[in-house]
Amino acid sequence: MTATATPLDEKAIEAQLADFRNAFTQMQARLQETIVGQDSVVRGVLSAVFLQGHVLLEGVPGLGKTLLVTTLGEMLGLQTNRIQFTPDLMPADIIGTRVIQQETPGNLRFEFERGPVFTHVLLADEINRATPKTQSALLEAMQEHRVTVAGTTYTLTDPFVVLATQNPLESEGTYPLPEAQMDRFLFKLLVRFPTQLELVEIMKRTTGAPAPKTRPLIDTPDKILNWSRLLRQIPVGSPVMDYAARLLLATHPTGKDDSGPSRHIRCGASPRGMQAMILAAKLRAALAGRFSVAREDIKDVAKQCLRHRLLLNFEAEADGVKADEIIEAVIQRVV
Amino acid sequence: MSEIANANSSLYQFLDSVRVRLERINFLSAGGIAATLVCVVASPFVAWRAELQLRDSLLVVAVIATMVAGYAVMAMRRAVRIMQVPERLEVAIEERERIATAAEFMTEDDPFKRLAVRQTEQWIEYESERLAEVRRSGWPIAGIVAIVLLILLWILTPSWRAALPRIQILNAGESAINDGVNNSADDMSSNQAAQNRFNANGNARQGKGGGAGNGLGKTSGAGGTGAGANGGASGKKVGGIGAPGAATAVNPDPSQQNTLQPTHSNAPATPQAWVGSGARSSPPVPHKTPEFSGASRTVHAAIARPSHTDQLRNQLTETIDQPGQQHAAQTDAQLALPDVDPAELDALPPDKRQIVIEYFRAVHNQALQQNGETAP
Repeated sequence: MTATATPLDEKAIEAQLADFRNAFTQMQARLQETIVGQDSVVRGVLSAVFLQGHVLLEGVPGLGKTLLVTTLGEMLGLQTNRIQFTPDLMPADIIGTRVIQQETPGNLRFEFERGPVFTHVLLADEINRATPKTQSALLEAMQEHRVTVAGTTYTLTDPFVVLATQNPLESEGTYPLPEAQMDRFLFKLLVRFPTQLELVEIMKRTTGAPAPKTRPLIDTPDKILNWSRLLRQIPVGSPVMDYAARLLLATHPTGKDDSGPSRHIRCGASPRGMQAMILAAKLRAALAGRFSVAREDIKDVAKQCLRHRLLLNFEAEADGVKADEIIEAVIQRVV
Repeated sequence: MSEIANANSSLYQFLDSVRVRLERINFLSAGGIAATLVCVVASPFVAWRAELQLRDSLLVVAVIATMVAGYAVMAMRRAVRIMQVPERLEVAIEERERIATAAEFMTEDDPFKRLAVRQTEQWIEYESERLAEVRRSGWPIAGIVAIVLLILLWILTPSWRAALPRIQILNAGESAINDGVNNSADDMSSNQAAQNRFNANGNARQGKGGGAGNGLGKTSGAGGTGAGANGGASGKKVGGIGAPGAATAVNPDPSQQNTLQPTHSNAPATPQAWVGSGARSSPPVPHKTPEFSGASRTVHAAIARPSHTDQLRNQLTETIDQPGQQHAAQTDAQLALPDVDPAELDALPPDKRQIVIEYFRAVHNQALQQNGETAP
């Protein structure tokens, strides 16, 4: 599956990036034919697929999260699975288990029955309803793209993207995701409630004749992997990397400056946050037709990359300060 | 990508052209900084150069040398390299970072980076005028202002005048004056007493030269000899320099000298000068306090050079004695100057010479006042 990395000349790079831009634009338009509004969510989910990152979608039920994932899978020609997380869900229900198989009478053997995690796009619906043990079953899959069962390691298929959802309002019977697992999501996207116009549009689209099945825009997943490799090669200059590092450090409480935005933070973003910002910025630069990352790319993706990595303190909770406001203040502060 | 290849790229040429401009600005800025700092440091010395006894020429040379040295050091330290150019551009920070990124990629052989450089070059070509703006420095203007202020300070504050003459009140002369006053009270007219007083001082001055004591008093040389003899005989602090019969009056022991410093008390004590008391015939010369006007300051500067005392003395005496000149006609003072460059004094116009005379007369009068006498 892994393609050999052949050195590209400048014309080939330009052509491939142009292809990518066109494909991305088409896919985004196609998704938005199904999903009304939610432009940033659609764009973020699509970006995560090409960056092979995982997305945490936060929003109330009924906003089209499941529809988004299934449409995405159909459009990209990717296999999709859905897991409804409940408190009694077990890790084996996600990654699979060994079952006894009898090939011939008296000849029994264990065989690994693959769980729903073996797919391209996994929708983990209401992920915060499962117990921490079950949630952590996804950790290795999300980070390493593999699972280990009874001492045997199974590699997941690439691309592998987890799109998890959680309800921000309902907290009873939920288990907040541990920081280690939150950190493994590339983006946290907030699915906002639709406006009146969008609601009318949703009614029109969903209460009439059923929409035809979406035709795949990409014939093979390898194309996604090629574009993913191409995006990762986009260079980042030292000034921009320095800026990203400064931005990340500014999310950490210093203990000295009580007037800054970091006074609301108990624990700042991890280095994964910086990696996420750089990767997302590369994709944004490619979409903007640039061959290197600029500061504006970092600024644009900072919120979706960092908002779930900040641990806010009691003062922030008491003041009603959101992570996005803190990140905005940090962006304004860091020069 | 080699450096030669880079030199042909438009990005390199853009950065290099900005670098040259930046270096020019930097050189000016370095000069401005050096001038400002040196002027700030030098201003107290300039303001109080008279009190600190700093020679003007020395101060000027020191200031200029420090400025040049500071400029050289700062100009060397502020040399601009190509990679430092982007941070000096007067553009938005995003644009500056974009140029810096391209400059960083310029030397690397990566197709993505070459594409990024080419893209940046196109962008720079499109907006070259706006992007080439560099941050100006206010230091050159500050340096000019500082120099102008220092020059103003120089003009408005007095210079140090070396070797203002020390006025020596000779005890021998003092005795002669007393004698003259007594004689005047008993037998002589006030003019005679003054004549004696002058002659006493005049002869006393001549006593330094080894006792040839007929004095310089051309206007009253005869009377002066007698009075000088009296002064020499009665002088208790003469110290034995003068020959018998002469008005020897110089006391080689400074502690025993009754001296009077001119207005500028910080003037050094050398060379010595002797001012004969002017026993004036009528009309009396109006008193003039030994303040230095601008003109007299010039004269002081002129007479502050050591040489040719005798020539000057003669010259000055002749000047005093020229008939028709107001002060020469009014005074019968015997004046002796310190070591003076006669050429410079000679170059002075007659009115300046008269200022010299006025000055020494004023100093003499002050000396008399300090000794409890009143000038005629």
